Amino acid sequence: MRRTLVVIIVAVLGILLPAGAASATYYITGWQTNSGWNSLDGCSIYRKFNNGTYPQNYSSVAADDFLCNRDVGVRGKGINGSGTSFEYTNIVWDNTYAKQSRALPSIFNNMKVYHGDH
Amino acid sequence: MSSRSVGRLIRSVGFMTCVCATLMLSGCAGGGTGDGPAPDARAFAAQARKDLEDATAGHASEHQLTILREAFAAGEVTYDQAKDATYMVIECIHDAGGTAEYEENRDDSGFVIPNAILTAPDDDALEAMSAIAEQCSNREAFWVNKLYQLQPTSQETRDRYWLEQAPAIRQCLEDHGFPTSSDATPKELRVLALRVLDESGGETNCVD
Repeated sequence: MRRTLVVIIVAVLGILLPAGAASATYYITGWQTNSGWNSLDGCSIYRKFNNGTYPQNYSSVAADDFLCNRDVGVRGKGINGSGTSFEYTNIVWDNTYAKQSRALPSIFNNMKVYHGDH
Repeated sequence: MSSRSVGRLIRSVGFMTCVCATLMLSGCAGGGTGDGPAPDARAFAAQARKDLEDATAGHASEHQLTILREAFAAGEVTYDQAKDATYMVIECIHDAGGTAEYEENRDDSGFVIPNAILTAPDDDALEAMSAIAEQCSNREAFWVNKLYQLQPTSQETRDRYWLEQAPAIRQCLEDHGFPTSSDATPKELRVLALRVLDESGGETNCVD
């Protein structure tokens, strides 16, 4: 009976401990210059540049296919209306549809897409 | 007790443990009506704990770790905390000889995201500073920024927006000859709209 109890405790700990100890995993594309679907760690990710589509803003967009149940992030770079190169440093995150935008005329010509669990 | 009975007992306990663990991790324990914290609070605590661990392992600055600890205790990351971390990124880039300024991103739902924008006269100059800016971002803001945006209260703001948009997306798809299921969720409608947008070469845009 004592051995049974030990086995049960070990089994319970084996189930509960990894849940608390797991760390997040992120999958990151390199800079991408085109729109459409691609695969990132087996999940379908949609990415798109919106340029000159005011009032929807000038933006880069990333969305997962909602089947992977993970977070999606996007970070864009490009050239603004006065010809200066720019790059956002913070990622825009969302659980399904991330959109990084500028209110001012800008051409987003590159984006990195992030995909991770939380 | 026979060895077969012991085996059955272990399997039963193991199964029940799995069920309990699943319920706890999915925030369904007690149906949210017990004395424990609300599901949102539990979800935030789990996110914040993991981000704090990752930030520590990822060599985040003490300033970023302090914000994460305060957020964990308070149950949320505030806009001011996210903005504060972002200004630290800008300071870090300036200290490294780069040029950066504060800019806010407001998404379709109206949710505001503090951001730092690295600028340079041309692509070569930008490229030269890009890796340093990324290091600054990781050191000062990455986990605070992510937690701020993905915490339950922020996601609820965005989910509410897409729920409001769902009838318009459905109507747009129907108008363009793409039938939708009557029980399609807002997320399912959006992914259908994205598929249609992609397959039409950008012609049929029911997303934004």
